[in-house]
Amino acid sequence: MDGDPVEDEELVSRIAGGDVAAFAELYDRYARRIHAWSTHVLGAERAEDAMQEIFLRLWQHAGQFDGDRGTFTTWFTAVARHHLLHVLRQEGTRRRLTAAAEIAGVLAGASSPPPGPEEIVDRREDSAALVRALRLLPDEQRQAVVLVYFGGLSQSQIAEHLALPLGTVKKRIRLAMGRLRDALEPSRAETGGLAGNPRGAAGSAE
Amino acid sequence: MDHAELREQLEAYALGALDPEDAEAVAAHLATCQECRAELAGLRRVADGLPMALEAASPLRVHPSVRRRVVAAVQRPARRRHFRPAFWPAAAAAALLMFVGSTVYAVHLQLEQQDLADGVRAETLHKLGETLSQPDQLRVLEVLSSSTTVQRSLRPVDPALPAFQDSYGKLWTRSDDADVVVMVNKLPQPLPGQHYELYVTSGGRTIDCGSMKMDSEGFAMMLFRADRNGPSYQRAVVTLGGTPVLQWSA
Repeated sequence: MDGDPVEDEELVSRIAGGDVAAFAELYDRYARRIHAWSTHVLGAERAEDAMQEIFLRLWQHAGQFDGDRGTFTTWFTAVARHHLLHVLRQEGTRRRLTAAAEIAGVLAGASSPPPGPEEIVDRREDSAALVRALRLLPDEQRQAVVLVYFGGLSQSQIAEHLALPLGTVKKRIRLAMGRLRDALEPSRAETGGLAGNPRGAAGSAE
Repeated sequence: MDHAELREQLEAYALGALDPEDAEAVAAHLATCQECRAELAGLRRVADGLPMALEAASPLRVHPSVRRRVVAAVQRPARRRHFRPAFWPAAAAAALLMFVGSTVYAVHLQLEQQDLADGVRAETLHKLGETLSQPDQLRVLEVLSSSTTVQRSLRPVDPALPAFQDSYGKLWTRSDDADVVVMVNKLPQPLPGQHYELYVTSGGRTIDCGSMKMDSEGFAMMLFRADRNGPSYQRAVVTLGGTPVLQWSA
C-alpha cells in the first residue's frame, strides 16, 4: 500500500497508549542506528542489553515525549545517548577513548551509505551528506567531535587526555561543527553563513 | 560573558561538551537571544545526525532475533503487574538497593526518580521475578523490612582468591517469623556440574539449604523457612563444589 509513511511522532503517541505494533514499527526504523551505536560504543557483548534497555525506555516513557519541544528523533537520540553514556562512564576513560577511536575510524573510512528503502528521503540525504562531511573532516576535528558526542568527554577532559591546550580543543569542535552544519545546509554555506558570522563552505584551516 | 563569547560556545553546547557552569550560562543566554536559538537549531540537527551517520557508515547489521526479544519484552503485562511499586515498602526497596548489583541499582535509582505510577518496573525487579514467585517476593520484602530484622554479612573465606575478592552475601532473619532470606552477589560463574550450596549451622547441627541458582551477573537469592520463628544461627556458609567460598560466623 502506498501513501505517506506514518510520522514517528504519531507512532510514539500510539505507543504511549500501549500499541505494540507502533512500537515494532519504530523499532524497525531505529534498530540499526541504536544497534550500531551501542555496539561501537560498548562492544558486541554488551550492545544487545543496552539496545533492549533503550527500547524498553521508549516503551515506558513514550508518554513523556512532547512534540512541541522537538522531534521524536531528538528525544529518542537523547534517551539513547543518556543510557549509553551512563553505561560507558562506568567503564572508565580508557574504554571511552577506545570506543571513540573505533567510531572515528568507521566514520573516516566510510563510503557513501547504502540507501535504506524504509527511510524517508530527506533523512537519507541528511545522513549521506553528514557521512561525507565527516569523512572529509581533518582527523583531529573528527576525533574531537566523536570524543565529545560518542565518548561523552567534556572539552576540558579532552584537553587533559590529549595533552592539548583547551583553546585548541574548542577551536577544533567549533570548526568541525561549522563544517558539518554547512553540509546539512548547503545554501547557507554558499552565502557565507549568517551575517556577522562568516564561514565559507570549505571552513577555515586550523 | 557577552553575546560573542557565548555564541562561540554553542557548538560545544549542542554536543553536550560544556562543563556544567558554562552550559548554564549558555542556557540562560539562549532564553533571551533569538539569533543564538536559531543557530543552535542547526547545530542540534548535526548532533542528532551523528548516530544516523554512524549507522550509515557502519557495516553492522542487527540480528533478527533481537527484534523478537525486544518486542516480547514489552508484551509481558502479566509479569510487569507483579511488580507494582506500591507493593514495595520503602525500607525493603532501600535494603535491596544496598544489596543488588550496580546495574540493577542504577536502573532502580533512575526509575525511583521517575513516575512510579506507570507500574512498569520490569527491568529493575526482573532479577527477583526470575528467582521467586510473587507471594515469595512479598515474603522476602517482609523479612527485609521488619523492625525485628537481623542482618548478617557473608564474606569470602579466602580473601586472597581473586575470583572471590568482590563476592559477598547477606542473610536476614527476623525474630517473629521463620522466613530466612539469603542473597549472594558477584560470585564467579560455576563450572559445568558445579553448584553453589548454602549451609547454616544451628545448635551444633549443620543444615543443607539447597543450591543457589546464579544469574549471569553472579547474583542469587534464596528464601526458606526455618523450623521455628527467630532462628538462631551460629554460622552460614556458601560452598562451590563442596569448598566453602563465603561465610559468616557468630
